Amino acid sequence: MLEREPAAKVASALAAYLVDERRTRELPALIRDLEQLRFARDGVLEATAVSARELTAATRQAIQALLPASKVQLYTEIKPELVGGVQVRALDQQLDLTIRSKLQRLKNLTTKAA
Amino acid sequence: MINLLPHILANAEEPQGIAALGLDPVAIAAQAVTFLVAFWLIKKFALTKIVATLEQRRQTIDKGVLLGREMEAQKANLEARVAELLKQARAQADGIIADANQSAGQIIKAAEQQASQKVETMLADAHLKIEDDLKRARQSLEQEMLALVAEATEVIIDEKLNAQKDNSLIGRALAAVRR
Repeated sequence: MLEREPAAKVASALAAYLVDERRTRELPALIRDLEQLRFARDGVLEATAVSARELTAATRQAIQALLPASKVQLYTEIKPELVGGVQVRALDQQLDLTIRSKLQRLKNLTTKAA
Repeated sequence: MINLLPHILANAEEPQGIAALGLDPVAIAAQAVTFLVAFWLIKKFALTKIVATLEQRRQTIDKGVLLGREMEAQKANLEARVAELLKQARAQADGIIADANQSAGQIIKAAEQQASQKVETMLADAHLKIEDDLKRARQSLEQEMLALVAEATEVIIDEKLNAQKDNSLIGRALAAVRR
């Protein structure tokens, strides 16, 4: 289907279907499935790096080098509330190196102990 | 007036024998006969009945005396029995009082033990509750302290961290993951 129809048209039809069927919650899972399909077919791994500040080219390369694929399409996203560090999501896996998550783990220490 | 009595007395005959004593034998004999006749008549017509009446009275009196003695004996027996019964009753009362005192002592002792156990249980519960409260308070304090530390750390890091330092930090973290 992807080969015959333009991607934007397919995406619009898919979005309309999800809205009509009230299954928009399944959108993230659907995207992951599509990413896995693309990774399996083309060997291209789509990844998202979320950080509090703009990432430098060297940092992006370091992130790409960490991922297990020869071709990596890295998307970046800025979220200041992460304070620092980076959160990398690829397929159904996630690597959280943000300061926010470490601080949250610190806050949850006593709750888990109790 | 001429006194004639001494002359009359001087001229009277002197009596002889028993008469000299002033006693008349005939009169005495007559009186004896009269007495005997009277005695015979009394004995004949009255004495037997009098004796019978007296005997009957005597027997009645004897019976009364005997009855009185029996009554006294019965009274004594009764008093003895009453005394014995009183003694038994007193002994029983003493026994009952002793039993009651013993029972009361046991009840009081059991109540004291129960109260003591209850107090110990309450104290143990209170200790547990205090320890639980302390534990909760300590945990709450630790949580609050850690939250404060995290918030303070976040503020400090946010102020101190710039893009260059952040990228350097990310690079070190990725290198650590790679290892």
